[in-house]
Amino acid sequence: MFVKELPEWLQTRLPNLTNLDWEARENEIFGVFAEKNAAYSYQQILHALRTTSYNHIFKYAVEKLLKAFNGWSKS
Amino acid sequence: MKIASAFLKELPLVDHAVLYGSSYLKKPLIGVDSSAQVDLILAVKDPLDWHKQNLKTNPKHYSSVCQSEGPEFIVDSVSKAAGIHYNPFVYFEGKRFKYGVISVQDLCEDLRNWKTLYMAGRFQKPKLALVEDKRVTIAQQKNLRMALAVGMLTLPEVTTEEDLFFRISSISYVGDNRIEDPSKVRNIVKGNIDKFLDMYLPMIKDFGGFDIDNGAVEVICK
Repeated sequence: MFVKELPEWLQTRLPNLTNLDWEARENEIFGVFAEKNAAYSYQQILHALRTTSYNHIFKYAVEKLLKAFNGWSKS
Repeated sequence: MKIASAFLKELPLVDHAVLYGSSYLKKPLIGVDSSAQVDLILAVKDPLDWHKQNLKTNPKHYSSVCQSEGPEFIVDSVSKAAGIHYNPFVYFEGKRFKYGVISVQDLCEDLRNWKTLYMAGRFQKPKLALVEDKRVTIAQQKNLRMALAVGMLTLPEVTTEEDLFFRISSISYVGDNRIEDPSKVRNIVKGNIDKFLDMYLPMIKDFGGFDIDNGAVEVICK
């Protein structure tokens, strides 16, 4: 019943979901999401680079680096 | 959040507005960070017209590139991406804001079909609606239903509500290289279980197929 709730394009792309166990379904479904998220986050970065001034890009990059440093040092 | 509502009055009219991110979500053991940037998503009928008006009333919200190139440039550029244009580093009454503007049509399409997942993912986590458009609210119901289905299909038959909401929150983060903190998603869920339940519980009851009780989730039929 849960498969029928998924977007149609995802059901078409992954027609065998009902035959898989939950771990295999996780790999399949999240593999598709990873692809999509990577593609559109890249497109949005390109849009931001086209429309943002250099000082904003610099400020954003510094903040991301600091957050990454804090995040990785805690993990 | 009063300051966010006051900020909206500085902008041209919007059809739908939500507050999300660190100024709304609690961090485990800390609570809401009152110094955090205020993040907003604004859906408008006609982004070209909206940016035209906003460039006149709030030119400083835009980068020098957008100010010189104009609203057509913004709308054309964003149409090649996920449809949302962000104005970052905007200050209002001493607070920092970042707001994204998207068309109602593009937002609804993503909520209903996960065309880009870019907006749908943000709408799968708790947020506060400041202005509501019925079309967005209806499309959002579909988005939450699909997210729940993914959660139930990718977890064992007996699990916890924390794992369910973690799985749902991961939909929009997996594969996104910009995520800076590996514990970010888990922390969002841990600090905001109550908000996730408010958001998903009515849908869970309506959905059927599984039970959620006292932190445990059990699938009855798949």
